[in-house]
Amino acid sequence: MQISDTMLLDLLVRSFSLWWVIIPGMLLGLIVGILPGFSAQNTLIILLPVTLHMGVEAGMAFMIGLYCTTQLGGGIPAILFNMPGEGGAAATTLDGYPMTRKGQAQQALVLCFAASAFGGLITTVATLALLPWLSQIGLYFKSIEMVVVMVFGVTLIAAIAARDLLKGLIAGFFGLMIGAVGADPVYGLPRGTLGFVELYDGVPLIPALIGLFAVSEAFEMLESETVVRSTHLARARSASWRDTLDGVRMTARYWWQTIWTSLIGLVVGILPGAGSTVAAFLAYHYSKLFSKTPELYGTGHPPGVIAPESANNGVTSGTLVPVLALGIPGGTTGAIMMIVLTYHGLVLGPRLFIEKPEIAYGVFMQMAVCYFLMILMILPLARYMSRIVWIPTRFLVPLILSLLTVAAFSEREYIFDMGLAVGFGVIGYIARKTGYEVTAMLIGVLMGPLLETYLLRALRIGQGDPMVLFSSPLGNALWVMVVLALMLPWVRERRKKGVLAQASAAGYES
Amino acid sequence: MQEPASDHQRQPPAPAGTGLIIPALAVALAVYYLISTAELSWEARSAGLFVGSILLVLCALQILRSGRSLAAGRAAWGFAELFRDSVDNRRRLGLLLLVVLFIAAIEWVGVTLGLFLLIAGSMAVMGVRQVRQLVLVPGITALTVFVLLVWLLGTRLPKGPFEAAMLPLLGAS
Repeated sequence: MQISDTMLLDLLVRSFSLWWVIIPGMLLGLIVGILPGFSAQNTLIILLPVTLHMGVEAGMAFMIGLYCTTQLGGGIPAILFNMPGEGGAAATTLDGYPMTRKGQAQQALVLCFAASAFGGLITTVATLALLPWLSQIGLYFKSIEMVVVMVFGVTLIAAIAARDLLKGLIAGFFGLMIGAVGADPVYGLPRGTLGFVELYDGVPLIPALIGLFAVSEAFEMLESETVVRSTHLARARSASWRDTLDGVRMTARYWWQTIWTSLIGLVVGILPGAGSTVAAFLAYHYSKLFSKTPELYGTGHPPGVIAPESANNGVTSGTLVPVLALGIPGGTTGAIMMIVLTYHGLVLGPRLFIEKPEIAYGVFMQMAVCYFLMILMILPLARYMSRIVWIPTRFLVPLILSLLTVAAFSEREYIFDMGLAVGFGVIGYIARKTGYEVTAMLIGVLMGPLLETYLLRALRIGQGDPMVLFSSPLGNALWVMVVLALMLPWVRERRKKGVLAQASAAGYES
Repeated sequence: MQEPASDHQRQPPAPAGTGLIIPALAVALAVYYLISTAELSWEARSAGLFVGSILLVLCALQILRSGRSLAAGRAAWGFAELFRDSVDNRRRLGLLLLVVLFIAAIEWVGVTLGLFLLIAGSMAVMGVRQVRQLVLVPGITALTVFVLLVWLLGTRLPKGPFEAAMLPLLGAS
């Protein structure tokens, strides 16, 4: 259905009038995003009774405000402490944290906020314009294609994040192996649980995230006096509003990057289960691949912050496309929003756009308003947030270690999970010190259960024959992309070495 | 003019042992997983077999690579800095022991008192010696956690003597 300009304007005004629920949702989302123990999904579940009592528009506006800001909030600890608040912010650590170490925390935060807000705004507008077509994308990705997407995700992350590809792949597949621990989905028999009943549901994500990133980083952080390198401390302390503007200027300079990486997020968001983590790494990978200065990635390069942040916010509108257009939630967040919509008697799917277009399109308009308010509200906070890295590590390390051990309890309320976080912390510390990328490991843990679900479905279709994984044209095209993703950095490195060798030989000759 | 020394000549051999800890853990998990699920149906084993077999191949490649480096003299046996007796490593070990102790004792001491002791102890391990700092920072943090998570949000964090004394005074169970 085509939507008129008058209706869009009306929806815009109505969405702005819901500021009284959007702003509290955003503030809560910011806190939830920053704290690694809390997720948007869990918070939305806890607050479900509240949202069900609100009107449908107000309830959705509150949830959207919270959900969108969580994606942004996750980038804050990723930049300041190398500890992503959400899985989607894991790729932000790659360049965000080196910027902080160089005394550019404020610029990095502004890049994160601006890229998140503009990326989210761009994809929301794109969704409003292309909704009927976008809703078809998810239909092409069935279990076989999703298995390849999962393998693609892990190999890509291993190739991007690790300096050593083999070590990156070992870390990624070790994570997938950990993710396969738990009761089997058919008969409920325990697998690889070492006899712990607490692992029957699989390895919980929050303790894994806290351990692999936060605890291991705290163990590493104690080697220096402050998070910022001592040589850059004076620069960090002298940061002013000019640095905020500097961050805005950097974002404006890479405007094209923000646009296309956010669109990657939109497409990945539509796929069931893939989520913001895959989107952020995919965006980072292609940003580096098409860059004229790929060697600067990983050293605190602004596009390395912009790409993952605009992509993980692009996912937010993508997630809602299958919910509204097909009535199929792609993940937990989509499912919770579906509960609220159906509770109010709405029939989701193509009919929603004919019978209640003001709801279907209104949701995306609320998202656009949320991103607009985000620019106004959160951008000025960068200056004050960046000061936290001045605190000496003799105070920071004890606070991080103790508070995050408690946060590990929050997901399932098991003391066992605190111990698990510490165990993952030790593994993460050894991995960091020996060149195995913890990001690849975490993504493996995250994707392990999803991979199993899709692999099982695909094998059932093929009656147990593994060759079924190569039976789909789209799947095969994706397999080729997996191979290319692994080969291209290697080929480029070889070519670079060849050029350097030639240059050095020429230098000696002359 | 003297030719500059090559990288191999300048750098000491890399420790091969450290690079094999993660593969060793990965192989142990994969082998344990595959053996312990051998009796299960193919549906229950499919993911483990798919991931585990790739992981074992990758680890074998890493072991081969380390072996080649050892044979060529580019690497040496040992764990280098990882387990060396240094101030940082002693601090790490101290912090780790304190966190393990906190987790073991939290059911009896409760989250507020436990957190206070953990933060104060960790700060002392990190070299903080001012008594005011050792009391104020942990005190304020532990009280904030108590007010937000235990009293206001009512989470099921373990309760000890402090919570038992304070919650009735605040009118909460």
